[in-house]
Amino acid sequence: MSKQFQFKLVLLGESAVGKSSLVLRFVKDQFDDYRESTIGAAFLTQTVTLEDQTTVKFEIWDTAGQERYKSLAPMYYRNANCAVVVYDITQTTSLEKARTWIRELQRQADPSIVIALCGNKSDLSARRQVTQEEAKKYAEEEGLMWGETSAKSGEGVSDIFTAIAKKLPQTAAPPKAGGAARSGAAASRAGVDLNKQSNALGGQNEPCNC
Amino acid sequence: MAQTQRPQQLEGLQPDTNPALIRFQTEFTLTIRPGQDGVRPLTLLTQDIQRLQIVLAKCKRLKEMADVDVPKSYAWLAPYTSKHTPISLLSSSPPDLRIITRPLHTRLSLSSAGMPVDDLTNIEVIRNDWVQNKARQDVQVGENVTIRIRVGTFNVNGKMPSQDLASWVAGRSEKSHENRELQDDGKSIPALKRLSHLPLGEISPDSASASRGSLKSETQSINTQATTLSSSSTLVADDDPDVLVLGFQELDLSTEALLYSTGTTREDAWCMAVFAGLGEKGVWYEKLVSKQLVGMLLLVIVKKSITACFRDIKMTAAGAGIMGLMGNKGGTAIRLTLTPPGTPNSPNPSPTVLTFVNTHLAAFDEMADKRNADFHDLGTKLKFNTGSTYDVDGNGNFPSPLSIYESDVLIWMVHLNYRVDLQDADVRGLLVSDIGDNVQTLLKYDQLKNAQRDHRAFDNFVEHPISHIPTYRFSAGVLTDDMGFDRKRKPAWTDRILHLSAPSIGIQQLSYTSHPEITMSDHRPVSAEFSLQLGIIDAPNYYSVVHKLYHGVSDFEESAEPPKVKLDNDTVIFGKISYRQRVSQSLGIQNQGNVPCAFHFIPQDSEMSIHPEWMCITPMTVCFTFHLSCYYVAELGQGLLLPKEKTVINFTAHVDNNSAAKLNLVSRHIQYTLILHTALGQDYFITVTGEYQHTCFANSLSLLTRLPGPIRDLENLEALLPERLAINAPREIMRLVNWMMANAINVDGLFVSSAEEQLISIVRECLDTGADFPKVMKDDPRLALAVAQTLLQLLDSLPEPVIPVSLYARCAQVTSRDEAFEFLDELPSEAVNVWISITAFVHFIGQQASVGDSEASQGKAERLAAIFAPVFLRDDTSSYPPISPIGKRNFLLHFIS
Repeated sequence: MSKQFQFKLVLLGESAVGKSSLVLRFVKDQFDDYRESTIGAAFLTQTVTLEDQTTVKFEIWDTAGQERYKSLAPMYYRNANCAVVVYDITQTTSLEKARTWIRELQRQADPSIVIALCGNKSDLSARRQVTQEEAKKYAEEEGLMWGETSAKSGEGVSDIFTAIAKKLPQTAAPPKAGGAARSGAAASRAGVDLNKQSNALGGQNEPCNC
Repeated sequence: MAQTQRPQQLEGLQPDTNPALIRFQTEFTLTIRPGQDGVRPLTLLTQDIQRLQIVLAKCKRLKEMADVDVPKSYAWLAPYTSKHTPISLLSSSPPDLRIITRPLHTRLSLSSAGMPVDDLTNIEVIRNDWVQNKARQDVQVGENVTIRIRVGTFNVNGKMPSQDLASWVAGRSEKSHENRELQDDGKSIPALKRLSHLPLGEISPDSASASRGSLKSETQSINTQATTLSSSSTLVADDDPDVLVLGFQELDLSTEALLYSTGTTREDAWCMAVFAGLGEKGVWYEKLVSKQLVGMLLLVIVKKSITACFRDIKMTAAGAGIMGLMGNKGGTAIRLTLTPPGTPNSPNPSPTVLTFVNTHLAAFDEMADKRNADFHDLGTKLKFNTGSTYDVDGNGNFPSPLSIYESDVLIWMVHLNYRVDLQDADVRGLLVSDIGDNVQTLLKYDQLKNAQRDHRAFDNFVEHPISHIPTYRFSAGVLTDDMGFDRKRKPAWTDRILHLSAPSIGIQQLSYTSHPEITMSDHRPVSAEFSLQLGIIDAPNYYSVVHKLYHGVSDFEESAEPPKVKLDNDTVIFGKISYRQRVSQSLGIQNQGNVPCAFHFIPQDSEMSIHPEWMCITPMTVCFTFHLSCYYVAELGQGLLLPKEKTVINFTAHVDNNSAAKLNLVSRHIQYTLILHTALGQDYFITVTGEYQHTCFANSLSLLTRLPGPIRDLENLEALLPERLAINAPREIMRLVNWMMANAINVDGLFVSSAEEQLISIVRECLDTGADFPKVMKDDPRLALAVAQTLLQLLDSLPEPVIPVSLYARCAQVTSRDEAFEFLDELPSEAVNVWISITAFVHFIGQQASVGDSEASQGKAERLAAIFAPVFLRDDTSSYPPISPIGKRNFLLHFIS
């Protein structure tokens, strides 16, 4: 039987770079021209199926980008398996902000966290301020994944999430049985093999191996 | 969602359920097509062919009705197609009082920001609560029934009744009782006429016929009903109890009583004495039920006219004595189901379950833990059997026994044997002294109050404030003190009455008192009177509304669409937040989605509280039901959409001593982000901001002495004076004392009389800002009293009392003035200065009052000591053994008398 994994993913980045739009495109394949600024944090899930039939379920926390909520971000990125740090290719300052987030994650998040740097709004390349080379070079130096996306056109969106999905099971420790995703148990640091869990006798009461 | 998907086609019977085949098959399938795929057909299995035919006939009839009557609404299908309404919502037995008396948000599963929330469980809790409350509201037609219950507890110490029990059972003293009898022949209103609108001769032996009149129904709805019920309105005026519940302990102290039943002689004797105590009104009452276990007897007497309202009477008893089983200690309990008479609007009112428990717990001071354990043990052991054959459920099982907590009102009367944790001399000393509120001082050391405070027993139970003196142990003869208490036993409040009731019940306690005139036992009886207001709710109507409401919201967790709410604002701005001044702000919130939505606040971190301690939020949870509105509208067949549901959340800032102590150490601008979580949806951030007005209250003395000026002028803590430049004593305290020296020395009742809150807050503000106190009006003592109270409040707000707790034990044992003054060497210098200036001032006003009259000035000094001792040397109930409050007062008296 194919493997199933579950990972916690958090989106970070400056206000108005398109985090919520990126998630909306990824989860529902939709786009709103006018979206209100996120004041809070949204929880969504989406499953990606890889070529080898492994399925990866992302539990996505889309957070508010506004500076005044910065102190709450650690609550959302704790225990995250991966983070997508988003910048706007038409705003140099947004890349600066992304660098700050990445430094914070490297310092404070789980050391095994997979970080992807994502340049959004690639449909607006006429107004580009951040070159692909510059961003790519920075990503390589820091050992991050990198890609450009357009939440509006959909270009590159599934690619970046699929790339993360591919990278995750390889870096994560062998899958473990754990609590059900929404049962309130702390999310397992490594991915959760859902098959194993559902096969186990007694389901949720299966003791944790860790 | 099921309700939005209107069935477009109903195929009652599938081919394989052709009636002709039914004789050979016991399975048939019912398919309801809601115009959408993915709905599973219902397969039903039965061996009972005859009844299946009835079911099929009913199905056909329903299908015909559906085709003809309401082609667009298939609401009647809801119970067949949706999930079953949870048993807990339809149970005739009330939910556990220990759970439903807790605020809803504390019953939700724990979560915090960024952690997966157990939304499904929380939705269920919030939804069930919402359905029940909403159904109650919808079914209420404004009719109420008021019932008065008089409860008594009496440890009779094995005695037989030898005195009039009137004051205990009927709530009037012997004297007034006699007066009333005398007046009966005279001018005043005859007693019997006061009793009822019915003359005595007309009492119907068939109590059911009279029952309608006697439970005091009140209606606020339609006048025509009011007239049918108003015949009883004369009864509303009389204050005789409808129900009398009496708990006796130590009815029989003989050893035989432990071993075998000694008959009902004693019970009968007490019962007669109770009726005698009711006097001429006794004829109106009858014994409903009693339950005895060895020495414990629980007796329920009701007005004859309402006997028929009590059905389904259950009794139980459990021992907790020797071996944990014997009945010398333990409890008896009675459970009554009270069904008020029907009204035209509510022909079948829902019953209210009343449970009464009478317990006798372990004796002796040091057995407090055993008593707490007994309490929990009896809570488990006292179960009412429901084992009548009528109650067998579908699987042939007897329903499980009912707990005493599965009740709407639980009244627990107890010979608790809880004692006062103080030395014998302290208890007696405080009781004979007429200075200060000594009953309240003693109650701080009451074992039951402390067990409740620490959640060790009787958690959430309510006890009316006690104003009577201890009820144990009295004796006759030489071995008593001046108050009649036995010299060998420490006086204590051993006889208590507590209650716990569902939020839907309007309960009011009218009295709580002991009856010292009844002296036949070593205990004094205690009584409490309750008034219960029960909303009349028609039961069948209630259950059908519960069904309807539940099915309107039963499946929102299965909706693909996330809930969506809109907040009027993402920020709540309090403006100025001042010590002891309540400020409130509200925030509108609207359900913008197409599905119901439940929300609640969550903490940022599981270690943190949901909101800072200086504020509170109401409500903490809400269930939005926009979808339900659509459901109702559709059912009514109207094309009108109700506006989307909106509610208001209130935020209140209130800074008390604890939070002020923390806020005083941080900067002026305070900000906090609250997280509002919508079940299965987004978290919303709400930023709360305010400008905290620093206050000199709730600061350490050492900080106050380092203030360069008024605290409001202090920029930050760095601006404090270095320690070496600290002043001798806090400027604020000296200001208050100096002002009183100049303006208040002749004011009567300084420190003793209370002051106007508003004036106190003006004085406080002047201390904080450095502004001048208001001008004194000639002969107006109000400002002086306010300044005096401000000083007491300021001392009480200090995070550490002026005399450190570690010195109390020694302070209380000081015997001479010199010894007392030596203690001052051990205090920090600022505390010494505060102590000396205040005690000197208090000494001065004590002398001032009565120059030359040393007795009067001593009395005044003692009164002031009783007020200042708990402020300077705070009562610390957590340490054991507690320090003598009298010793603390005496220590202070060395300085002020």
